[in-house]
Amino acid sequence: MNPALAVIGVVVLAGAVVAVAAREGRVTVLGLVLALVAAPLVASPFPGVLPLAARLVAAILTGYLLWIAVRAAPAHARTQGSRLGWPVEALVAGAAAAVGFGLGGAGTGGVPEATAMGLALVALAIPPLVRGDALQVGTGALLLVTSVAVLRVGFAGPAPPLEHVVVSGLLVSVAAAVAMLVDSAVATGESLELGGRGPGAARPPDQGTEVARPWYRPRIRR
Amino acid sequence: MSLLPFLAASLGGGVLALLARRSERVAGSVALMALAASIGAAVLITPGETVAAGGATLATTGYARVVLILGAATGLGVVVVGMATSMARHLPAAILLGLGAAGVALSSADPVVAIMAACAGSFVPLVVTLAPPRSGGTTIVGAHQLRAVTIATALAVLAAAWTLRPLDVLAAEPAAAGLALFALAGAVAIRWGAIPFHRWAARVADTAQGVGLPVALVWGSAVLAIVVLAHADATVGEISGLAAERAVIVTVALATLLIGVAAAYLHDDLEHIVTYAIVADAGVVLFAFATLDPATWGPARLWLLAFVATRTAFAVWVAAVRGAFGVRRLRDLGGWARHSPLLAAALLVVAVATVGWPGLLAFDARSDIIRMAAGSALGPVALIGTLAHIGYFARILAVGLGRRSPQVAAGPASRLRAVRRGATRSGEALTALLEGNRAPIASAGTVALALIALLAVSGGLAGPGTAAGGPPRAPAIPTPSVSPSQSPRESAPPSAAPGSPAPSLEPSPSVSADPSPASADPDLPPASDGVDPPSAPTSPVVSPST
Repeated sequence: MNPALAVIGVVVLAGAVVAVAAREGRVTVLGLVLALVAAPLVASPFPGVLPLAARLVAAILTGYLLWIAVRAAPAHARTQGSRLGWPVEALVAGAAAAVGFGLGGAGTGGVPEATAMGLALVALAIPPLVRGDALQVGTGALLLVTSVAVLRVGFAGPAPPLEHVVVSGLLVSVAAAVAMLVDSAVATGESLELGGRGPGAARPPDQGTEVARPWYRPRIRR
Repeated sequence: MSLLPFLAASLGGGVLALLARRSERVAGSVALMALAASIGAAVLITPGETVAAGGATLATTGYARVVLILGAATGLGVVVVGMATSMARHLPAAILLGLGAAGVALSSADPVVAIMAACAGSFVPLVVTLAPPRSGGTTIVGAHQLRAVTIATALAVLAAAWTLRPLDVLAAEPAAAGLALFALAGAVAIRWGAIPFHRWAARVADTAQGVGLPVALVWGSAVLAIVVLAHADATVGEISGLAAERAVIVTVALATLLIGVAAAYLHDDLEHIVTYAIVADAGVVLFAFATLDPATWGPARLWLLAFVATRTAFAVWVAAVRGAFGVRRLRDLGGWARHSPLLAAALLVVAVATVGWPGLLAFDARSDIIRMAAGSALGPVALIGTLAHIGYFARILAVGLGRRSPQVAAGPASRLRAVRRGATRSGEALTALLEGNRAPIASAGTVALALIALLAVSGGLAGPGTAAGGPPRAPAIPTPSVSPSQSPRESAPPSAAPGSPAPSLEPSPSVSADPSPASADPDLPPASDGVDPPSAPTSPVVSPST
């Protein structure tokens, strides 16, 4: 096992676990960006500078598009997060990574570490994709697209630079769709739940009570 | 390279239209200019050119040129009719960005790059589905569409990456090859909305605004089918012994064809009729996946051209009718044909182009695909299914010739109106002319699209020779200067990547459905002019025992 790839893989998985387990939208976006930035580095040899720059720009643009959509949500609008909690998600990802590493570089020139990380990302991406929460569905979609780009390296070896550019375009187009989806959910239901059935829409916080807040937001009394 | 102006016009125009989306009029004007420029740039594409870009190769082909011309021309028609009726603010930008993605997908010699680009174009229509005005239902439909397109993307890219290996290695594991075939066909089936994956497509019909349906359901599906079919043909299509997998695909294809047509006939809502007609067409494409014979390559690509043209014209016709009368249910549209003869003529042309007759290029292509896939047992049933499309067209026309409903009677006349007297300046006069003649403009745009459809199905855009030409290929001789930092895959031409069939520039026999030696399209320029010659994958069929 290549130790450098293993460390990068852990960073990717940490970002993905944070993205699927967090209940605060901004933290989800942060985790996603971390996973998207580190994912192209799971390759041997590393991609060139220009392809990496393209993927970095795509990751930042993806994060920005999601940030625009999430910041419009009211403070009480939270994602469903993981039903099982982040430790379970991390264990599932670890198990999938072990299976993937056991498969090795499945094809000619494949990278075993990429197969491991790709399978782990697939395992993390599927549950949020089927949840009834716009941001979670979008998180699942972005992680699944990222996972196939990583698995492709695991199956067939390093991608040519043009493929990194196309993957960047693919990620940005998915992010634009996800941002529209989140924006639509917030605009119609004042929550992140699909169809406006969220608890936030049904029960807006009463006057004088303290709304749920993330750790980085200053305490505000209404 | 002659492809670059097209990419600049479509992608650049798409970004500009997106930036100008606040004003429907400005976005529409930008899109009209960009689409006109895209048509010109697509016409000027020279087939046979290759350019190395980022370790991969972009190569132009005659077929890709025709698809891009058709896409830009029908896109222009869609925007014109949309401006005269109604459309989402994001639609012009989505059309242009989708065209740009199609340009990259159809020109890439690397199958993974091609499939990824096609999938990127498939996400663009979501901005049309989710465009304001929105409701909770719109969000749910958008989520369904996002899930479907994401899963289709994952299946297609994973299967393409898995099959990037030598054919003998692939053939040594027939079960894995069969799964790869399922994944490739499944990706197209899910993206297209084939039965049993049709739920999301049917819901999109409920929320599509104005002329948004072809963008959401037609173009992205067709481009993905073209590139996935090319890859499947060159990889798993070369492996014999996948009879069980092919039988399953034939069953799904037949069910999709028959149930789709039946649903289109039974529905009362025009947008659902269009959607189920599109779903039924997925059956024909799945038949092409079931054969994966070089002989079906040309007919399948010809039929996909006809599909894009006819279904776009049908969907735009529905938008024009809805724009004129404000209703979408057949029971409210009594007498529409007598009220709008131009729209009646357009529907008649669309119906003729869709169903066709023996001897018509698209009809023969569709029949060839079905005959080769379904054989003598199920073939006749499937052929009857394709002819059954005439049922819902006849129903719509019969309603149009009946008694006029109140909604139709209140609709605008389809004849041109003169400019009102108050307009003194030329700008005001032009605006008044356009505003006062929305219905005739929409009808004229629909007729133009119907005529384009007729041209496509009769071979006026591309003959069998153009369609039978192979996918984009990298030049046979790689450039000698290879940077030491490049990976082995980068240093080789993409078509020589593991798993790709060995590239061959040797003359190969025609794969057109037409068995005659002179089946190459007579309107083709000689091969030296850059048009890809008809060629078949040259790798021998490998049996699992090897």
